[in-house]
Amino acid sequence: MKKIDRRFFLKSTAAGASMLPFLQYYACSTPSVPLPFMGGLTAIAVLDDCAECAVRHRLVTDKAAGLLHADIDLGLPANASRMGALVTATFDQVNQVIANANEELDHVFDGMSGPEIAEAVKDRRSDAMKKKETIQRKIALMLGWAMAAGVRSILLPLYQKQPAGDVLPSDMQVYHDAFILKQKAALPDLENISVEKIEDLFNCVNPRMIARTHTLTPDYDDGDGWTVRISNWRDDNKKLVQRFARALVQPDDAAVKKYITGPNFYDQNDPVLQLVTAGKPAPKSECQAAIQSGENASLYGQCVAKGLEDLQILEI
Amino acid sequence: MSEHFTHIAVYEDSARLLLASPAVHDVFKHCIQTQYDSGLLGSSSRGNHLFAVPILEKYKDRYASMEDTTEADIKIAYAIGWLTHRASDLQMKPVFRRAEAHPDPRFTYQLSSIYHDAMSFRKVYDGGNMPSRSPNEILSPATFDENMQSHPAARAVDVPKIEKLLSWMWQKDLVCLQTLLNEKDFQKRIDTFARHFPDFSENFSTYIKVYNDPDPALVDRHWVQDKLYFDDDPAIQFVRAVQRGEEPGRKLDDVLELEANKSEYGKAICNGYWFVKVAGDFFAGKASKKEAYDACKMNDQFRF
Repeated sequence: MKKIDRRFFLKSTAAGASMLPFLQYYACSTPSVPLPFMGGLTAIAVLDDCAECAVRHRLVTDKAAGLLHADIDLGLPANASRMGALVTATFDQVNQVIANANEELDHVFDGMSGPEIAEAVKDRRSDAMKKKETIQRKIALMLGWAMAAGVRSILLPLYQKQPAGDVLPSDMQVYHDAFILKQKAALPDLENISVEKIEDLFNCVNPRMIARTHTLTPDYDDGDGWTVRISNWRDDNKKLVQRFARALVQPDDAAVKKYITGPNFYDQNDPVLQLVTAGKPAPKSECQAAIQSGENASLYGQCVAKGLEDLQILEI
Repeated sequence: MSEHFTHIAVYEDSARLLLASPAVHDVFKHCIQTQYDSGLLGSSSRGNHLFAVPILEKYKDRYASMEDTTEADIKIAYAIGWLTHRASDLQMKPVFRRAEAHPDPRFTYQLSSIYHDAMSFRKVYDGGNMPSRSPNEILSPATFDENMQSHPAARAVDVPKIEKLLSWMWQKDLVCLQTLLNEKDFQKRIDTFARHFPDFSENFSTYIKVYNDPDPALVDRHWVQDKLYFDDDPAIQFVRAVQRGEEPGRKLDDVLELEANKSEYGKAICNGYWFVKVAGDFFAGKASKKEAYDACKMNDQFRF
């Protein structure tokens, strides 16, 4: 049976060629979201660093902090905040969503008696609590949008300039993502491990992720098309994992120079990245100095700084 | 409903029965063999009641004349997986509900289903030592480890940090696969996102604890008293032999009788076989749509 040649689709169109590869994964007919590609782990790491930094150093209200501290084992609304790079919006739109959500939260238990409310709040799976979490998820996503400000203004333009090659995502993105994995999670034995073992570990994580979602939710508006999209995603994800593993364990020196050191992708000495990794809460003045410092020179550092700036502007 | 590992186990064992049967439509066998992972994904997905039979109806009369059937094969395989998901749910959900209704508060719907998954992983995948047939479902003895600590690469990277970043990345991918982001109105788009977000509703730490340190009282309840899995059920013996590359030693027709299999799992995989077999008859024009719906016990409101 002939395999559909997806590359024909990419090469046969001229305009916006660098965006088109994304559309085969995206169900969107128009790219109304800015970051529709495989990978994108760097963007998520930026948001995670912004969120954890904001919580630890008390840069946001308690309410916002509750919607930023995410945990993949607890299904908290905060998990949605890590998806912020998927949203295109203006500040006004975002603030309106937050205001509407706060209004909805005030009415979650409307019509319920005291004892009914007492029962409902004991069970996260009650209708009222599920409704509450859905509303909170909206606010969390808006916080994520703010934290993604630097991703949108700094990283995305870089990625969109990458050539639409045969394989998604671009080598630049793979090297960025692998570098972040190394930065966040490397142990000394990484020097002695094989690409294949790391690849296998990463692949073993995937069923655990699916198990955490309980069951996969289809696209109820396009179940037919969704079966093909998710099947293709699984195939291509495995190839992406292989590329991650190789870039992590046996990076190509020329690629590292081109994508990491040359453009100063990451510098742990950036004041804001020092803030991210500081174990104890810092005084507010120190935090703001680090965020606004002209010495945040790396691309990643600037993304985090911008994200923290915008997060603090939101009306929550 | 069952959790991920029971669903994929039922799919894989149902597939072993289906592939061994001369009575199953050749196209179905072809789709299972060539798009195996799509079937596995179907078994892990909601929505069987909405999509499985309609997909088969869409392709049944045009498949033979299609020049390129790749996409159709994916969708048919997915529909097959969806039907095995249904078979598993119809068998197991009453068991979970009985657990929830039990006066002992230790027995709950959720824990019952997690104990099922622990059993499925142990029995069908030999604790991660027997691979899935899917090239994209990578299992390991470390799958049910805290922080995957027994994996050879776990000494090289901080697994919790890797796992959270990869999980969010894939969660983001699952969002991108949906058309929900097409909504033009911004507030509506966010409302839809929040409602359909594929969140991590299951605490995998509970699975790990149940698998590695099960409560004896819950083992007795969920594995023994609920008759979850009997090694000597004929259908189970058949599929375990096939899995090991051995001759099953008995005829397929003899093992497919529902009543010959005494455990819930044995019945589930038999139902998985029959739901798909009759769906294949519908695909071939040998059974009506009503018969296909009847076979998989579809509610009237979902008969399209």
